[in-house]
Amino acid sequence: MIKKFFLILILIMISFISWNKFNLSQYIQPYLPQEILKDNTSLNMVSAIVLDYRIYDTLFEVIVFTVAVTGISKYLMKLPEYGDYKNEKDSVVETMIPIIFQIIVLISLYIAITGHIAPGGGFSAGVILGTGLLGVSFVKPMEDIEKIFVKSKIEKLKVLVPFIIIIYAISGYIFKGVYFYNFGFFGEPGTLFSGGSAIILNLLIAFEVFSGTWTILYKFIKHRGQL
Amino acid sequence: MSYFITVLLILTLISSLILLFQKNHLDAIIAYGIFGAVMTVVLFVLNAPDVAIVEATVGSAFIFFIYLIAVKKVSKIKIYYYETPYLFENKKGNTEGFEKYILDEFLKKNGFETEYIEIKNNDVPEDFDIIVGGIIAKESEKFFISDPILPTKMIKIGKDNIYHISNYKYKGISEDFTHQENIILDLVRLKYRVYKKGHDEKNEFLENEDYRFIFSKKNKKLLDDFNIYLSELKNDEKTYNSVIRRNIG
Amino acid sequence: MDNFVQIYKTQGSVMNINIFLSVIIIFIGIYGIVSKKDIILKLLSLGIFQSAIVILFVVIAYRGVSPVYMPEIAVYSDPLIHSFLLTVIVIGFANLALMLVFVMIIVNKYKTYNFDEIENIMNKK
Repeated sequence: MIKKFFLILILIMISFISWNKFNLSQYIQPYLPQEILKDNTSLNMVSAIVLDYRIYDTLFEVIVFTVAVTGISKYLMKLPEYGDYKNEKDSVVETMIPIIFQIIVLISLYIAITGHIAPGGGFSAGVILGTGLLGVSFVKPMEDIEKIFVKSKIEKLKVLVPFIIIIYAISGYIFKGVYFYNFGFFGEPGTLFSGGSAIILNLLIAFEVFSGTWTILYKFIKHRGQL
Repeated sequence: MSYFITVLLILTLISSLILLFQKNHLDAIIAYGIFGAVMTVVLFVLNAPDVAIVEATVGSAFIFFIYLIAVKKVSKIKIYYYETPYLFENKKGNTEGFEKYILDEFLKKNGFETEYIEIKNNDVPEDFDIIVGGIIAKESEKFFISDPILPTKMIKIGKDNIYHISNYKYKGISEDFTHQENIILDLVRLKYRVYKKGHDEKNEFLENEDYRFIFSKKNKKLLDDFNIYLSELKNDEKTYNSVIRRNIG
Repeated sequence: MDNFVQIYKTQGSVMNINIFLSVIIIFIGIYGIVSKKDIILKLLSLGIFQSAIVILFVVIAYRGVSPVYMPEIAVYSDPLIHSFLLTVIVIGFANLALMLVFVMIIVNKYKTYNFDEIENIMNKK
């Protein structure tokens, strides 16, 4: 009990010292909004920074995500499987999930494609699609989903996405002289065909994140209830 | 309008404090889901819509699903029992008795799945969770004991070559303790012995004891849950007495 | 540019109590990691810690308008900080999921949730 008391005391003292010490008035923004609009004609400034000005961060984040998903998929194979598959049918779930699943696919594609006009982007679209596929596993028996998972070779395809991004970077170097040159559509800000190559990159990142989350969820369902 | 943000931040503080005080795994996961939902609202009011969408899908929904799938929702525990008259006995293929009734209520309330295994010949395997069956035990390093379930007395019959009840080998409701001449018994077995023999015997009162359960050292939380349930049961005098009267008489 | 600095200075003083509250939530997360004995509760407190840091940075970047361009508005919330936070959330979630897998392997082998007992068993070997 004494250790906990001292811990709380130290933390409260540090938090009181941090009051009034945040001097944030000398902060200057490096990217001004007018310049972003002229250079990279996308309305959403966060999307412009993530996919154009700081694309190296995005590249390495995609690589870290792929490695983490591969690690999860490899280490979960050491656990025993869940053997007690009961196939109870519920009528509400069986009728609603095919309808809801089509709406979920539509929503995630919309969020991924219009990432440069409205808030959204590739990451959240991929996760929405991945967890939407979880609902399908309530309806179909487990063997069908295993067959779909193995036949679509999604574990081999998802490693290709960082590779394609690197090809995109090198082709920018070959044709225009700079790595990661932003070639794409440059139209009126606010229309669909603007913002450089944001559409292609968003779709690639959405596919990558979708396959990663689906792999994680599928493997967790296969070895569930072990904790 | 700027006070609205402060009120919302105090709400997240309260929900994170709720998570700090949970003990059950399932309760903690649900509290984390609530914390993620409140955080999404805070991030949206603070004018960060990209971060709010990513936090809502990834930080709240996905982590919640993963933990919910991984946690054991129904844990299986193994119960070994000594067959004891009136407390836990086999009648026509079913087990019934006072201790079995208490155990069934406790397990159903906390969502456990169980299997009852009988102990023959006094060898208890290593992977037990609970041992029941009219046990009178003291504190030991190898196991935990629960709070007293039912008070009883130790009775001595006969004079020489005293044979203590804990010495014989169990083979069902064996006839050992009805045929021994000199023996130290507890009340329930004495009642069975009187019922079998048909007549009363001269006996001598030794000391007061209690029946308890033995819990394994691995899982202290099971012991705490059972003690809480037992104290609730004992506070409710009417049902406690009626259960005793129905099973023991 | 002068317009920008002046507007930020008038809004700066209200933000102090919000920064203080987010720092308190960070410390609740740290306290949960240090003092809990059950492994799953430790992991969930780590999740609280990561989310609270996100709140702290969003409060620092708050200027009143969300960072989507609209004509005739000069000051937006900072988009650079938001773009870092996207990366932070995704990497934090991958970290948490991978740790859960390792905890599952440990619990499956040693059959106990308590952190002290796992240390005892590992020290005896």
